[in-house]
Amino acid sequence: MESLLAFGLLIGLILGGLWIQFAVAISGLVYIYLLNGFGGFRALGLVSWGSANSFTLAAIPLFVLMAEILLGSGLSGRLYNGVAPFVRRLPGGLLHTNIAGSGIFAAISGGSAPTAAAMSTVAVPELAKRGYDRSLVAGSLAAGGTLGILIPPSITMIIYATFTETSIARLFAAGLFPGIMLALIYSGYIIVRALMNPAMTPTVTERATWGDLGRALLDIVPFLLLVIVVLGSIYGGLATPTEAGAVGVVGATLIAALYGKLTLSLLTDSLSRCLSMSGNILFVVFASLIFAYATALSGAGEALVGVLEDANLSRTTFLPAIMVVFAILGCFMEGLGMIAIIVPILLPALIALEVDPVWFGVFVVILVELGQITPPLGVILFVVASATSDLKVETVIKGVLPFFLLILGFILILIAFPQIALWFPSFLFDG
Amino acid sequence: ADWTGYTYSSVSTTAAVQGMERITEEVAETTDGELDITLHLGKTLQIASSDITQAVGDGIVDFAADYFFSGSVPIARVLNLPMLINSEEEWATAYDAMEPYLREGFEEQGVVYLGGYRYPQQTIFTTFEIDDLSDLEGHKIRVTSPEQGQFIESFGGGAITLSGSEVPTSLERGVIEGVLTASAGGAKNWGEFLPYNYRFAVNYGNSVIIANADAFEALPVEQQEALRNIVSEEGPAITEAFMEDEQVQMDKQQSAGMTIVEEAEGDSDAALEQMQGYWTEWAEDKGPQYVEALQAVRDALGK
Amino acid sequence: MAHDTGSGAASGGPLFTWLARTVAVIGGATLAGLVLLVCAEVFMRAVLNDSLDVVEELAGYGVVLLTFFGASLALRRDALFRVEFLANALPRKVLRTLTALFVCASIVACAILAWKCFGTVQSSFSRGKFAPTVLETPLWIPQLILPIGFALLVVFLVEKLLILARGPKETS
Ligand code: NA
Ligand code: NA
Repeated sequence: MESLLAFGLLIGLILGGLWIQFAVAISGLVYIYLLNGFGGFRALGLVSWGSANSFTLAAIPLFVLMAEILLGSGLSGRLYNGVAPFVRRLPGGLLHTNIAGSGIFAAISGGSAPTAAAMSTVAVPELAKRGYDRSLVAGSLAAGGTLGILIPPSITMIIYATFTETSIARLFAAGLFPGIMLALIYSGYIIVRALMNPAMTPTVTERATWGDLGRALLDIVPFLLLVIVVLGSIYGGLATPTEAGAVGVVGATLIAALYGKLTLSLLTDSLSRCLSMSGNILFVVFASLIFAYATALSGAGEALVGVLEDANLSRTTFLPAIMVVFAILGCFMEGLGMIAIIVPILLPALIALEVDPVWFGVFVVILVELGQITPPLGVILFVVASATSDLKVETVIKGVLPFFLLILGFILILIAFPQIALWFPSFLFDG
Repeated sequence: ADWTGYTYSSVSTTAAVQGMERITEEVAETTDGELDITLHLGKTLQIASSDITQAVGDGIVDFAADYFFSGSVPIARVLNLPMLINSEEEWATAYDAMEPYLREGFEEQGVVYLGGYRYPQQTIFTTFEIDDLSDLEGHKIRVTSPEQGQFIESFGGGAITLSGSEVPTSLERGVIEGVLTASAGGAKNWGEFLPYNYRFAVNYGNSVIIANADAFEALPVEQQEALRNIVSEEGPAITEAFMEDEQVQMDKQQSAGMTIVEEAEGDSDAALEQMQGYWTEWAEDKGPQYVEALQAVRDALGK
Repeated sequence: MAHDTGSGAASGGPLFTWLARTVAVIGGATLAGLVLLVCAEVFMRAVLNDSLDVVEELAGYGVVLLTFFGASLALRRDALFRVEFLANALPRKVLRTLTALFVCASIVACAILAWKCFGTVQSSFSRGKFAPTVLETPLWIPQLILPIGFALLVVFLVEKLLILARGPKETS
């Protein structure tokens, strides 16, 4: 009952136009009050500290800053100019770079928010300038961002593995192929959409000469350098996925200097924009965690899972039922909190039904992704919307809806064909 | 009474969580449901592991298991000094000597110390071949306390501080080359990235089971007794279960390809010699109470 | 950093503008410090086989500061996320009243959080609690960022109210 009131209040405040962060914080406080009275507020201080004080969250400002420097120095513009001639014949054009770029960032960072933040910072302004449909740009970026936790490294997978004592290496391997498949599905959708509605992408008429292509290649080089530096630092054992953000900032600064674009105002402007953007994102995460605390206290998640357990379902009905539970909770909870509540309770049932824990990890991670792009509380929606001041959350939600349906469909395919996730780890580890 | 319970661990299958669940069940049974503890697992409530004792003291949580209490009751760190305790028997002796200090330390925090349990010894897991402590030279080992750092550095290793969530990826890619943990602890998750385990016991880790003082005082005496008794039975049972699991996990890790290296002769004496001076220095640096507690433990152990 | 304060954001007065600039400078410095700190750790580890032993801890504190200082700047620049399509359909007068109500509710929420976080600062102080790290940071010091951060949000929310009270001309 308290939960329904709190969820209702949250939706009401958000639709009423209150800033999302305050809407979440206020309904979180009301939620705690409904559960424990004013005495419940005693917990707010330590809960705030526990929610905000996080090393892994540092990845968000770091990756945003790297992207801001690339954007401010004009290097990202050159990159898109460079790629454009190569994708001109592909329906959807530069939109595919959103997916490919997200895939690359996903291989660098351990989370979805840093992935989406870095890509959106650069892509939203550049693609809007070139006349791409805003909602499709936003949708593809939000969808692309969700690859961050599916393509290794993935903090979400590590947390899942800790809860379930599953092999992290197998999980990472199991996420890779579905991640690539999802990326291809996204690209396929973009092609279909662009063919059906050519107005969504700019039309290019002139033909590219060999000279154009050569110059274009030169424009891509700085970005490739950055990617090599950052990827190299991770895969070469120099930096952890979170630290890679800082290496990226230094890399971006060096490249800006190399091209003679490095000025003090570039740095201060980038810092300033990054500060406001990451504050915006981190504050949403923070407020969500306060709300998650209340949800955990209420036992709503456990009750939902309990219903599912009592229903005594077979394997074929159990998994779709879990999808429903995640979808409901995903509207109101942040990903790790959801895993912490649901997975430990479900674990015995999963073992009884002989569900492969590695497969289930991939399943859960995709469901968490889904939760990150469902309103009212979907961090990735906000991350993409924060890229420019004139991109509205509503536009992102509208844009992401088709991708949401694609992911849902993909999960069903994954249930039907578990091998999609499992063939690669068993190829790697079982000889 | 209706209590909120919390444990730092989020793994429902681990001995620590199962033990806490047994405690809440038995308490409910013994008190006919009068004392009802709802146990929340780690990371569900947004209270950091290192804040659990404070949360109990502040009355946010009524009952908890806390492994990360050394910022609140720092004197307990005496028990985690490298090489001070080398066997289960020594642990028992040392723990008896330390218990009054622990009790008092938690009392000062507004917390009732009810009991505790211990993890198996933390040994050295590496990605490189290791036959004795001198092989640590030049390798990067992740540590979880400054005291462990001192140990690693005294054998020429690099002591690295790193967030737990980044350990697996860092091991896989060579950012770090080893960790100190128990087979039934961190190695359960990270074992697949760690082909070598040098069975050298560096130190032990322990958890306390605690309750908010006011909430505890407010209970009828029989319920207080019941809770105390159940914890004092289940605490050692958790320790026991961990010891069994340590052997199970070790065998499992070995059959999965991990090379288990027994302690090399002379290493223990060499390490003890290295560390003895450090204990004294450490305690003197922290204050007279630490010197006293350390002396009490050393006297009890005869070290 | 003239870019981030004066222009763009409506101001409730020079004091607010000054405060915002100070917040931006501290936040920017923290962000730059975070980059340097993490890079120094990577360098130490890769080249010198050692660790600064403080980065995880300090970066955590930095994130706390960036969360609240950044959010208060985003609030001032009207960049905080919101869903506007329903609100924009409301008559101007109703919208103004609703906005004022929302701002007041947010002030109350932030005030409660500031107060409770200050309680935690006091608790940590009187307990003598510190981080069990090399630095042994007394935790009340970094925890002070929380009440200060919520207080900043309250100040900039009050500024919103002032601007709102001045009438529709300036709000646009
Ligand atoms: Na990733
Ligand atoms: Na959501």
